[in-house]
Amino acid sequence: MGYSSSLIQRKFKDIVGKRYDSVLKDYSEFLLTDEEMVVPEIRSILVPLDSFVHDIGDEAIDVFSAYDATISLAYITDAGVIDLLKQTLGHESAEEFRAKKEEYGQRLLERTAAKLEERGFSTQTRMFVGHKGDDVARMAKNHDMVALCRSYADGESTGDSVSPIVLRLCQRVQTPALIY
Amino acid sequence: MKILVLIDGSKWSQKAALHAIEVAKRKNAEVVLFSVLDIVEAKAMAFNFCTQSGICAQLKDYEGRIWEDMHKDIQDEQNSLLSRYKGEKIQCSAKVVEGRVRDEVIREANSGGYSLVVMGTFGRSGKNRVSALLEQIGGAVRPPLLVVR
Repeated sequence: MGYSSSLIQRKFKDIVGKRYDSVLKDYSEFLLTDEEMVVPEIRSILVPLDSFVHDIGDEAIDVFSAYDATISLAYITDAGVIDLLKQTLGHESAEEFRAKKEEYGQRLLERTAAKLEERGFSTQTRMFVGHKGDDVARMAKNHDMVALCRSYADGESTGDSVSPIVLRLCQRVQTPALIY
Repeated sequence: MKILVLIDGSKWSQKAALHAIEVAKRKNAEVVLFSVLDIVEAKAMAFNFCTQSGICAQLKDYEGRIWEDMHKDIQDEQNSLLSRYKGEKIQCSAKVVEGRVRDEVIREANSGGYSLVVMGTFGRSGKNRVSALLEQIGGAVRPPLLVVR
């Protein structure tokens, strides 16, 4: 017996009888189907990076090592900030900002990829200007897990908080998410 | 490696426990299934039910019965998971504590020598909103937090 049917039979044993299907339908927001209960195989992990992420800690890398997965590192510079700079300070300032961010991004990508490869992981890297929430949600569809730094996309996060974009991504993506 | 799995009785925490089995097998890890029961929840359920049903005289009885049921339900859930872990030959134990969920989870996660905390993306409120617990503990627990959906 699958977990859903087992749970419904156990919790609703007084009323369920032949009504298993209707309980499953009417209360679907509280239930996972037997198919949804299957734990997915993790073959690729998306790790978004930005200027608020400085490193991937050893504990997170230790978790990655539980999977036989390729790590995709993606450094994203916020397109909204660049647009704002263009409108307020002009094209040149916006380009200067982008170049500085991408210089940092390139170093971070190289350093992080080297650290992961030293630990035996296969890595891919990419860097682009985009939306730190929407683009990660879109890319996550092609990966089996997303690993998000607590301060990703939010310079305001303190030691005791987690970036609101990270929380929203946990809600939006269909894959497991590792917050580190 | 030592893994803390948060069990709240929802389907997503059940799936989190299944996901943790896979990690534990590969990392030869020890797993602790952890649940927190808050008496305020039993009080709220009893109060709302008794006032709506016009049986306020029985409020204390209902509160006691709900509290007992909450204990029994979570024990059943944990026992069923423990059997599953045992079948997979994974070292696993279970803990149920009483108190405020946020406080007890943070205390356990940060003091128990854990390398990973695993929980469901959603909780007992269903999949309409991300688990309130995730918002409360996301930044406060020190080990990486694996959120399963």
